[in-house]
Amino acid sequence: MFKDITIGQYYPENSIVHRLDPRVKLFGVVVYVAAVFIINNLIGFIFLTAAIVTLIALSKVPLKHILKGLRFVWFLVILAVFFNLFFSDGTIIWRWWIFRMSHEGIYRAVFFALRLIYVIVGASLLTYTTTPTTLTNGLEKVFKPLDVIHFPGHEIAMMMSIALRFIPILTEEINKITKAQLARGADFDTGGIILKARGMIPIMVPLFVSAFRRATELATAMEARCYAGGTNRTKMFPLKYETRDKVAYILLFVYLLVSIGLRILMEHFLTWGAV
Amino acid sequence: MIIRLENVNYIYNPGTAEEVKAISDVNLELGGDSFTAIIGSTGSGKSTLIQMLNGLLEPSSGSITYDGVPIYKEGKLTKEEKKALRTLRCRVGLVFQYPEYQLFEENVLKDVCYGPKNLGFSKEEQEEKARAALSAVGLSESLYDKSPFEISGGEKRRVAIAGVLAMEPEVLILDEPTAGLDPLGKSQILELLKKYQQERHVTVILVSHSMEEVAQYADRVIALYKAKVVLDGSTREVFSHRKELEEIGLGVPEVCAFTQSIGLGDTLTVEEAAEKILQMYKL
Amino acid sequence: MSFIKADKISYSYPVIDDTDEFDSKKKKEEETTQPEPKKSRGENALKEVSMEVRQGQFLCILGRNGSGKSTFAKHLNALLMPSEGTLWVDDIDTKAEDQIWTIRKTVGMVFQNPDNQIIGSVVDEDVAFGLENLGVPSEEIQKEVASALEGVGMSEFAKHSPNKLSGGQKQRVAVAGVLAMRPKCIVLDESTAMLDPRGRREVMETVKKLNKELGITIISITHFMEETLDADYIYVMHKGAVALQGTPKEIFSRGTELYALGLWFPQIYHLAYILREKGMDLPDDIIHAAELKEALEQKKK
Repeated sequence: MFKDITIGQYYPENSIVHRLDPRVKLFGVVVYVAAVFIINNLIGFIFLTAAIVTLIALSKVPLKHILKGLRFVWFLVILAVFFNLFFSDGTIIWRWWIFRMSHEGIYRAVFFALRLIYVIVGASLLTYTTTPTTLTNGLEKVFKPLDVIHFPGHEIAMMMSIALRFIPILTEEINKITKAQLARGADFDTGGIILKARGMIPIMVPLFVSAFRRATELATAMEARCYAGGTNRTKMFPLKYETRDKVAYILLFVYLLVSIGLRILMEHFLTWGAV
Repeated sequence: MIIRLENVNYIYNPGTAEEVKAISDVNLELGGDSFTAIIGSTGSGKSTLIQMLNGLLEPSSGSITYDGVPIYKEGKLTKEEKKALRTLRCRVGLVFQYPEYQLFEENVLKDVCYGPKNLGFSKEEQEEKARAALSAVGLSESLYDKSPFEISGGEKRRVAIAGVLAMEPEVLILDEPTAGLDPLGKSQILELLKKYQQERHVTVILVSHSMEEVAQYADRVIALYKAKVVLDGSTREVFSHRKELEEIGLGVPEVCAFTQSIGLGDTLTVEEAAEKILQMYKL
Repeated sequence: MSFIKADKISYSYPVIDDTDEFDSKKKKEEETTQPEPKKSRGENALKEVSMEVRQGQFLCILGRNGSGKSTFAKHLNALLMPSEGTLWVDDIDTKAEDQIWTIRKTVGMVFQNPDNQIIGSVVDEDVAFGLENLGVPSEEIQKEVASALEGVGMSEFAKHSPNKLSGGQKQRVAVAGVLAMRPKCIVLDESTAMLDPRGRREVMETVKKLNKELGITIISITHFMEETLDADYIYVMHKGAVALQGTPKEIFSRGTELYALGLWFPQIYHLAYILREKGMDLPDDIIHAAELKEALEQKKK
């Protein structure tokens, strides 16, 4: 049921994308997401596709692996498409009961779906190519200036990294508990939604109990290894910008400018394909 | 009841780079009035095998039958067929490792009722079966209305075993039921399983890493190595293959190795070894 | 001079505030049923425990589940403080709050469940965790991590994900995480309980090596009798107190007393014990197969 959740799990490889400084990659995701929303025409999307495909190729993460990870967000995409497709106002071309389909709605649905998928692919590329600990280090550094307003940057980063580490462990745990209850004659297939939800209790209760137990034990283990929050901590591999990181920053700036430029250009000189 | 496996294979992640053959061409007959042990080092395929025995995993190829009735059906099944298969598979009870992690109800008795409830028994029948199972595992009645989360570790383990016993399986499989318990807790669990097996003449199948446990309690031993059954026979017979057992990373109980080293042959328990030595010295 | 000295330490778990809804419900249940057979809150988990450990010793603590072994272990690196009595670790009173990091650095802990004590997502990052917390400079961390991984024989896995390792390997990573802090003592709190025989051997061989080669004091809490045979000294705990203490031979020669404490004999000792009971004249401190074999051969003559 929750088998092999690949989204968000680090994919070990030795590529240029893997080696980039996490701060660069975080900035990259921000620029990329901005670009996804700035772009509003087909040429822009071709440009975006070229960029992300190049990045995926550079990262050496197999495309198949990335698409496999997307399985779990299809539901979200379909939901978003559904609402945009049937509830948008504009030039109505079809109407039935409360549903209405419009020219604009179709465009919006298509672009919305594309944007969602692009954002998820881009963001997951970040976690595929960056170990949770490196990502944590990056986030911590990025949040560092906010220390003055007591923003818990270190704590947030630490929580994220632990959450990511425990995803596969808890996934396996769910499988184990599910099997144990199946062996006790549980039926997770039949029945309506309410019956099914009630049938989940024998899985959810043991899962929460176990998660709490793990959390307590982990906290003790961290304390035993002298953990006392973020103050005065050092790093085994402190973040240092290399030439490639500087180049990446410049490329990202250029890319952002081009995206904005493209949109302005399109809006002023072309009218086709715009939303 | 007899479980028969014919040419059974199980492959994880077939067709990918991570393809692993967990069970390879296994032919096996299990059941009857027996306390059977399955041994094998980690990764030998034990846990895959026992999950296939009660229908949790479907073999990639080959057939599994209970008294001649197949427990898997090809094609799309109706609700009734699915239900019938589920009931059929409940004739084989499976207790996983650390089974206390499956407890969820608000009290012990209710938790043990979960299995019989799933089998469609009436409330009275559920309770009757649950009480019988709880007394079979030797749990004091004062604990029945306690939360399963506030009793001790050994008690939790017994409640979880009772949860499967309450379904009155004809074959009971337990994956390392004594893991993590202290020596006294271990022997209590094994003794109650032995008693249960002898009183009801059902099959108990024990998966264990402890050769001492196996030698003391089992009458039949099946050894797995790299997805295949490599030894299968009476406990005495299997433990006479010391060399083979050591080659597959297992070995024999310390006392057995000892009597072999002083030329007294195989022994399964400390008591037996003592008797043999005393005979030798005519005491 | 002893390295660890516990002088009549007692400990009781704090009573949780009863305003907590879940807790008051629990309390009500307790009132309606018979008194709890296991430890109820407020009762002493440790009762006047006195122990002494010398630097470089290999010490085992035995006892049933709930006998107070783990509670005692948590005192050794100041995760818990005694309610009464005093515990000195390397001449530092563990109640000295300003010394807490020194104590935790001196005594490292390895816990039972390998999955719940690995924090990093890559082996070497996890091993570095303790040193990073202590604010050690980066270059030094890298050196210490490499040598700690070498020490437990896990160097080739430095860049692996801990999730793909076997149980025994994970526990060796946990040992490395402690070893990197250059402790004087490592406490194994049932660290082999969840492992298969091979994993158990791996971990025990690793810590025995550290004990012999680096002189690190090992305190091993375990249920496996065979792990205690080579110990320098054994403490047996029962209901929060020390019930027995001595060398393995002294402990196992206590015979049936051990059954009452929920412990089992190692098989060879058990065999010799039965033979003696049946009137055979054998030394009463046999625990190894070779010793029994020799004794039997002498009798033949």
